[in-house]
Amino acid sequence: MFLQLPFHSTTYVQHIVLILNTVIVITSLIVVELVYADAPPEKRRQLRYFYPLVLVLAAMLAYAVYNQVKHP
Amino acid sequence: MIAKAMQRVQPVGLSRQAIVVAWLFVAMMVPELVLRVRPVVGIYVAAISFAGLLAVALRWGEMRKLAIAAAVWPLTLLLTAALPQPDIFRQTGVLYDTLLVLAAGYEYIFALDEPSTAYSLGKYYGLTIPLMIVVGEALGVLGFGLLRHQYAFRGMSLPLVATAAVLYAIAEEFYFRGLIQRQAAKYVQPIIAAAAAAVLYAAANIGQSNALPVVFALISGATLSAVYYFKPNIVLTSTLNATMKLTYLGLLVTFVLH
Repeated sequence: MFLQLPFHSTTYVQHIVLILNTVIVITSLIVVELVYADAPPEKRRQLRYFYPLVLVLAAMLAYAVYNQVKHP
Repeated sequence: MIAKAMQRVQPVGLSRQAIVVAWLFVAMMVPELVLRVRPVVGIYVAAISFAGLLAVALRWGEMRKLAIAAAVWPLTLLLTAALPQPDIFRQTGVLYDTLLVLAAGYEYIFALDEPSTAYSLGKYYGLTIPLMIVVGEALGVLGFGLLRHQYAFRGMSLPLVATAAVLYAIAEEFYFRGLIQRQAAKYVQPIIAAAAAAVLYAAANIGQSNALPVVFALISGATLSAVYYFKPNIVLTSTLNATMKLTYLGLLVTFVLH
């Protein structure tokens, strides 16, 4: 009846996810920059669709850094 | 590499766009299945799926909106996994909050290019809304029959669960019908998009102990997708979904939780 996470999230999984998100943010930014670097200005306006997703992942990256600094 | 792989598996008679849409839905369902069996491996699969969907959005500009809409689901799983909660109700709340924020946010962004009338109610909805309530109650009774032993929020305040259920219904409809079904209908036949949205909705319920939630999700998802197919308005499907959940909770309170 209700959607649920299909597994029990543990601290170990949490650490993996946060590290993965670091990789995804950096890769996404590099790919987007490479693809749109030489694009004409009228094509670049589609980039705004990606900004919220990248913003969310960047926030998770900041949380990951804070976690690792607070709990080394 | 993706284009060459697609050419190898493309059956005769299906368009390239239909194949891409099928791959997009596979990218959404596979992380869910792997997470159920191997959570640690599933996290990597979800991350790869998310990256792959973004790559599709970049490679095929005409599929960008559908690919981004599809990428919301693996991202929701990743975000929910990154924020473990002490009990299942709070975990479910994080899942739905993430889904609602991402789906509503992208629905608004997409609407900047294509103003949508998918939320307005005309004069004929005076009959349609009560019909949705009746159908929702029927589905709620069916759900109670199948899932009365699957209630996951025992011990939680019932008014809180009921209020949350309404929000959960809105979040589901914003995403599965308002984003996925609506965007997919631009690339395949609307009936195929409706069927795919119903299957995805059922697949999102895989994380349970047995198959009954998936069976019920397939029935209710098919009903919701059919309603959206005939009347593309998420106010109607949200009414049906919320009534279904509230009826299920009401029957639980009356016959099980006492």
